[in-house]
Amino acid sequence: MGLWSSFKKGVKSVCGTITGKKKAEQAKEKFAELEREFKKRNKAYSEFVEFKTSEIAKQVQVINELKMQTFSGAFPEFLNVANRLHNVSIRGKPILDAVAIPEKMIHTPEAVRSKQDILTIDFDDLSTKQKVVGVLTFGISTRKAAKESLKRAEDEEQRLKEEYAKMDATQVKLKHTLTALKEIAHYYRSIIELYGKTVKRLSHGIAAQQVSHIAFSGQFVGKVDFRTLPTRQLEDFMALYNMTILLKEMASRQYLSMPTESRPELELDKKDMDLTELAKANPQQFGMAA
Amino acid sequence: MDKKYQIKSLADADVQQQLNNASPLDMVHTLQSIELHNQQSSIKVIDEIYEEFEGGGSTVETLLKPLVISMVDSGLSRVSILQDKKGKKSVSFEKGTGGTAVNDFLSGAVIWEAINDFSYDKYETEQNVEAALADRSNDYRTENRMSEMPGKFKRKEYEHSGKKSATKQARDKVFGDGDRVYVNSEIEGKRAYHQKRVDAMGRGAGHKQKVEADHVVALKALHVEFGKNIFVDKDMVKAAGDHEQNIALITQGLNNAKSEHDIATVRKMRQTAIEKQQRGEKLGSNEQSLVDTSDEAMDRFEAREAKAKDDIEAHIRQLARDNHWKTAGRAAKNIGGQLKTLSAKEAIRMGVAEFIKIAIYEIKDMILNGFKSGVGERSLMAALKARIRRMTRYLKQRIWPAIKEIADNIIQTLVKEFFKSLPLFFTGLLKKFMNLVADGMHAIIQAFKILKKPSNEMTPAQKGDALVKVFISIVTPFLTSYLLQLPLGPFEELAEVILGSVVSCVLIWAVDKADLFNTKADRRSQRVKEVFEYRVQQIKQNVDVFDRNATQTFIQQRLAFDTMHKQLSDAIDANKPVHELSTNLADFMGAGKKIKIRDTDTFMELLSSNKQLTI
Repeated sequence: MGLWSSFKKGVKSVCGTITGKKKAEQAKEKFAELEREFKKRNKAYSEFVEFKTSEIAKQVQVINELKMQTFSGAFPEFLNVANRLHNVSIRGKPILDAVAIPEKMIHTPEAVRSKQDILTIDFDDLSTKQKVVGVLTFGISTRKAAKESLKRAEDEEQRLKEEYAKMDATQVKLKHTLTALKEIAHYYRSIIELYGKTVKRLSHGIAAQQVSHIAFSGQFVGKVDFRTLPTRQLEDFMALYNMTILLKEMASRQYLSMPTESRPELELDKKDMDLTELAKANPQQFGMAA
Repeated sequence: MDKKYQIKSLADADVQQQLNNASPLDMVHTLQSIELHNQQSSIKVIDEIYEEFEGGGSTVETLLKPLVISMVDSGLSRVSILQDKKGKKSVSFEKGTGGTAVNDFLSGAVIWEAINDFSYDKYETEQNVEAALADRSNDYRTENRMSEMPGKFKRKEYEHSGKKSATKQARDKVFGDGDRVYVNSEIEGKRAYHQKRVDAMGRGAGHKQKVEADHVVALKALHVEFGKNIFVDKDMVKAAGDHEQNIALITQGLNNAKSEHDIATVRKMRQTAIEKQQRGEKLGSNEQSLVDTSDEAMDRFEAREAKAKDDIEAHIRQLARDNHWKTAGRAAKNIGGQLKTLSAKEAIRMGVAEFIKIAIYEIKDMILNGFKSGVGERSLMAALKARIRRMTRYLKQRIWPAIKEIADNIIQTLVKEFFKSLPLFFTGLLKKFMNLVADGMHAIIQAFKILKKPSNEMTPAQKGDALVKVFISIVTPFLTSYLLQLPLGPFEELAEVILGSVVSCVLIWAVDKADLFNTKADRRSQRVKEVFEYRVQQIKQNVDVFDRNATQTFIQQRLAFDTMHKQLSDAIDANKPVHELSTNLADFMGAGKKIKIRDTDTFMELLSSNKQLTI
């Protein structure tokens, strides 16, 4: 490096300090860094949110299917057995969950503010006024503006930290929401399974009862008199009665959307769902032996 | 942390309890309802912090306040004319009224407090009036200071005459131009007749019960009560006295007996008359009227009087407030009167204190509200004029009366002080020079102290800023000594301190306004960091509490469920009863409320009593 060029560099560096150009450049760098960082984090965040949202939607779908299944499979099976003992019907129909995640739950990040908001001076693009005032004040005005820019950029960095913290908060919430839904689906499935098993046990019990009844009296009776029912079968009938209430409750709950946001009551079908009729008309569909 | 930046922190135990109370089916809703942070936007937060620094609040606190305090405490104490014999500085401010009381200790802190307490509005309006109205025992009128009575009562001054007369109007309102001849008098509730009117049936003629409309609270009583109050003039009493609440219909007899008295006196008079009657003595016509008046009428009268008094008082207060400008001059005159008793030195002290107070108040106002916008003017010149105008007006009202009252005294004192200080004048020059050298040294030491401070306490910019201010403190004495070429005798020291302080105040204000090193940005960044570090910390902590407790709850619920599931499953396979286990399961899932049948007997009953079972 020649003497002249190093001299020129020295002058430039001194000038940079006096006018505040150095600081302005630092501010610019900082700003670019903030934007890069935010972009990176925001991308990861959106991807995470999108992924979890779709997972949540899937789980809601699973739960909705279980709700349908309760009414189309589990209940008719039960009614089929129960009606051999008593006239039983189930009122209502499943209320499906909306897939939409409450807006409040997902934080919308507030991005890095605009360049004009943060960088109050740009030495590559000085206005005439800035130049004139800068010269007149021996660089005080430009130096001040440069410092202001740097400080603003630093302040913005602090603010973004809050945004990142809020993003993290949303992620944790989504994570646990998904878990909660998965758990519900698991419980749901298990209960339906137990229900089915209990229905079968009761069905066998009643069949045995009927066989012995025919053998004893020599004639077929439509219904088994529940008064003559052995204790175990009566207990099973009661267990199923209560489990039906539980399953019906589960099928009419809104899990994801808050109760206030749930669809209006009007859509509920108040009419009795007399599945016995349905089952008689089309036994195959309900998986029953004719 | 400021309330507006706060984020509610989640307590571990609370979250735990909330989740424990939630059934597995409620979990999503419960998790959603726990707020990890409020909905406050971070941009709004940062904007608010920036706004905090846009106002001059911090400049006032960090610069003006110490400056004023040190000026008063160290500067004024050196000025001989402000010292009394005991060497104490002795002026203080009356809180609230903006007035000055004498003979108390004056310190920078006291002045600063007075400045903060002061506002033109406060001084010019309510506070003054309220204080004076509250204190009726004081005779505010200087011309009547020595007398008990507020001058002779002249009915004409308090009452409209002719058609405007309130009593006549009240009577006309009832009787009008028609032929109505009687009315139930408000006080006695008795039928009372129009003084001159007789109806077709001859009613009213020669009847004893004539009706009159008159003041409940007598005008003379109002004169005694308010006439001496400096903030109340006769027109106000006149307006309030004729207030409709103060006019009542009363029988002539009782009215004559009542005359200018209030109810308490009337009751006494009545008692005396009754006793007199019991003794069998002959009663006068007024006494007879009182005896004829019932107890109920007296009670009504009392209630009516209390109401009228309240209304009049409220009315007069309102009028006094509305007309404060008219009366402010009188108040000042009054203070001047009080100050007759002051010594010249005391008067000067008071004047100086008031001057400093008002001058610093203006500077504070400029910093806080802006030079122009503080007085609502658009141009610099107009604002300057407005500021000087209101300062002069204030000082004229506050100080001028005092000075005027004791002008002779002051002149004497000044002349005396002047001759006393003349020999000291030349030695004073030397002293002044030495002072400058001492100040300079002091400043240099200060500068070193500043430079030596570690960078984590002060940024380079803050150091630079502080150095500039130290430099100004050296320059101002030179500057002011140039401004003070005239030998002002005893006033020289005083003028020097005041002018010096004002000059450095203005210079520092200007430097601060210019903020050469942009230290404002440093302080602001400090604050931004503080606020956001707190908020981020809070959010992280909340997320942590939430995460931990949610995970734990899921595990607990899953364990409990799996146990139940296994029990049920095993029971089904082993042909054991399941009805109790299934009820437990429903309870665990949060559907317990809907399960009404809890034993086989009840179930049996249900089956027997219902032909159709609907679930």
